Amino acid sequence: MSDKEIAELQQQQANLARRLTEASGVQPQTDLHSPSIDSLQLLAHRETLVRKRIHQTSTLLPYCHRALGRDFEKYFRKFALTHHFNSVDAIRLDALHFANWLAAIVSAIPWLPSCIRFDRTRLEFQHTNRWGVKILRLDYALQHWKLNESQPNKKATVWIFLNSGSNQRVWHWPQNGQA
Amino acid sequence: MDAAQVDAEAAVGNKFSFANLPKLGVGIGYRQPFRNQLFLQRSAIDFLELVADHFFSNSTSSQDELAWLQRNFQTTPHGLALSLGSADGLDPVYTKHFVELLRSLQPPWCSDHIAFTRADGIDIGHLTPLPKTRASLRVLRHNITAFQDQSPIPLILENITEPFRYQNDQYEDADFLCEICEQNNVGLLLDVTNLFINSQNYQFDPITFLHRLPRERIVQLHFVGARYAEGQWHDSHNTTTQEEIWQLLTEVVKYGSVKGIILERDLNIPDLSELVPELQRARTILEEFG
Repeated sequence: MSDKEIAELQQQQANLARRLTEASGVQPQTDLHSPSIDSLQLLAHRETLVRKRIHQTSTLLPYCHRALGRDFEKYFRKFALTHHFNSVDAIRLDALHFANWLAAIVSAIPWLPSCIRFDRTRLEFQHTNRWGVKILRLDYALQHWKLNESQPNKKATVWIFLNSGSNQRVWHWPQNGQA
Repeated sequence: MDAAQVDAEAAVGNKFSFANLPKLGVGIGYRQPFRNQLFLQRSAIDFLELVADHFFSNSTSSQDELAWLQRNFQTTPHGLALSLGSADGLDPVYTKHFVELLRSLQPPWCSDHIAFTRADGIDIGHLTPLPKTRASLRVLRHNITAFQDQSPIPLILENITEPFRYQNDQYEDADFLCEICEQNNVGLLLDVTNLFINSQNYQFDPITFLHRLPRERIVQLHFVGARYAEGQWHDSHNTTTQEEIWQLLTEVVKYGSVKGIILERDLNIPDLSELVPELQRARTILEEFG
């Protein structure tokens, strides 16, 4: 057993990782060639990985998924050309990155920004402190109300009071806060 | 990692006797949709397997959920991305999270996969098979030793489905698993569905394979239904267990020294009550043959 064998394994794994995550749209005849792996099997596996990401992201961004319908997959595949996940918290971050990417790319659907904000807030719940949770819960409740209970094209006024502590001033929205 | 470093770690410490682990019974892989139904089906669940990665966050909600699960159930953590087969070595951040979770849970054992998920700074996002070579065995030994240096909790490793195979394999499937057990102080989490899928897709006899494994190391089982499409079986985690898989599971329980069985349902998740008959059938098999 030599350094060479381990170095070769390291190289093989690096090549494989790149081939499985790099931009799609390649042909089995011209890409993914590996002397030790069947290229068609590798292509099929890469497709499985993208499908898995689409499924996970659609679960984490249910309103965006509903708003975009079949286009959700189309947009995700476009997003996946330049983004692959890369951290301990990969699945959640993948969904957050996609939500941010969507917000910048898609402007044709008027209610999509609300869907993105709603889904993103839900995800951000998971990584925040107690006061942050309160604010996010409020935002979540507002977006939920907006998406599920408010009447389209009808004006509504919602008063919200936040008591931030006994020695601090009470803020109310919309006058003092931000929309 | 260089060869000298690997050789220096070749010596394996005191062998742990997996036969002495407690028998946990039958349970499910915990997923959030099950949360509100767990107590309705309490008698059907002996223990829960938690996806370790889901509890790495320090957020209040994540920690509250973990504490609630810990208070009410016996739990075992199951990692998805230790990447023990990675020639780059362990990811220190992931390993630290995993070890902290183990300290908090103090489970009878923990598990991960015989696979790699990361290479050259890229997270593949999925369990990727290793070539069955001497180099892979060395890398596994290095990483397993590094992990066990940080945690005394017994480690068991799961066989994965193989979407592709390497042409430079030096070992047969069963021999590779035997070598991993022989060279390391680890048990086996035998995923019966994965064994079934691989045996169908690569045409080998799963019973012959089974009988070549060290029976005392088979600690835990996973099972769920598989999906057949386009001439191949797929590990979809989305359907009821097929009869062939039940038969194989029975054979594994008869042969191994199984301490726990987990039903792993990730997609197309039904009401928990619909999974109870499968849990009861697994319990009957474990009680009768285990």
